[in-house]
Amino acid sequence: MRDARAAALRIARDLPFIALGITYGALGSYSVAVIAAVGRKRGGEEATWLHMVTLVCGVAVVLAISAMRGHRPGFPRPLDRPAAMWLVALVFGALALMSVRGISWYYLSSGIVSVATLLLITWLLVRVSLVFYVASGALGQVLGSLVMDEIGAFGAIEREISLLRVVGVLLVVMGVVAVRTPK
Amino acid sequence: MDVGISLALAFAYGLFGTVQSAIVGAASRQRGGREASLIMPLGAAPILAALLLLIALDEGQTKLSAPLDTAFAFSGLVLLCGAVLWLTIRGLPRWVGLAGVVSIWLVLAPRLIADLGLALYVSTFTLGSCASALAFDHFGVFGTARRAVTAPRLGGLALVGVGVILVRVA
Repeated sequence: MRDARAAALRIARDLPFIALGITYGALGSYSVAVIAAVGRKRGGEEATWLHMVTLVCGVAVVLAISAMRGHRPGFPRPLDRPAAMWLVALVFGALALMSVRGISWYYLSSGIVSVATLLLITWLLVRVSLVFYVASGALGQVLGSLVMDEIGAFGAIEREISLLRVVGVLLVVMGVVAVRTPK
Repeated sequence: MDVGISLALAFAYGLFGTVQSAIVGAASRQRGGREASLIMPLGAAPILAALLLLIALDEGQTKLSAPLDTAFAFSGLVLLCGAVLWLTIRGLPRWVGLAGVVSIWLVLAPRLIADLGLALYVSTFTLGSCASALAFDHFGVFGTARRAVTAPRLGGLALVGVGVILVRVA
């Protein structure tokens, strides 16, 4: 009885982290869906370019803020200073804004969301076990992709969720956990 | 594009995606996680700029708005992105600069997702990355800890494969 209660408490304690892991995985699918949407409007090279320059800008902002708090970036000079990181963020931010001109501004979100997921990974990995991280991330990614297929996110062709597809993605998740975790 | 070819390309992206993860991991061990997160897209940027330069030279312009629609703009951006990448990887093995090369595969993503749908694309990509993760772990490539291929892990790969088939046929 006491063991069951302890296990229930442990699961309750981990639930918010599992939810965050699923969110992290779903955001990964969201980014790919946005890149695909930009690709349909502009071409694959242009879509990937927009994603990458936005990602550089976002990570540079994170590094610049971190540097201002006293954690200098681990790059050689001159990129170990906050001002250098702000400059990188400014230049690539300007490139991202120029690249998104003519289409909706929310297409910048693939890069911005990727920055958020990078931060989430760092935060999650020190708080949950690798099994939880891998399982919740994979679950979020494949379920997120199923949902986006169902609604035809960002103008994509709609593909219905069926029981077999759900079983298929659950098998993918179970397989990923078996392959990626030590035990 | 033929669905079989699209599946093969998504699988290959997954296979090579693990190479990228391994290179980013190696950069992360030497420079830090956030720094490696900057090196990855910076590694892709000069190659993408070069691809867009070729498109501008071939077709007269890119599909981006002015001033990023000209060959002149992208010849400058190849140099700029290359210079920033060089500044970030100075002192590291040169192959770290390849961290973003695999991301170039993303240029195919719109086409592949149109053919396969997002769920099948993600599942097939995952199958590829699991297959290469098993091989990388087995041989301890790029300084990762060696972990032998075991029956449960191979069984896991088979499960992913069955899952992909179900997502495909359903």
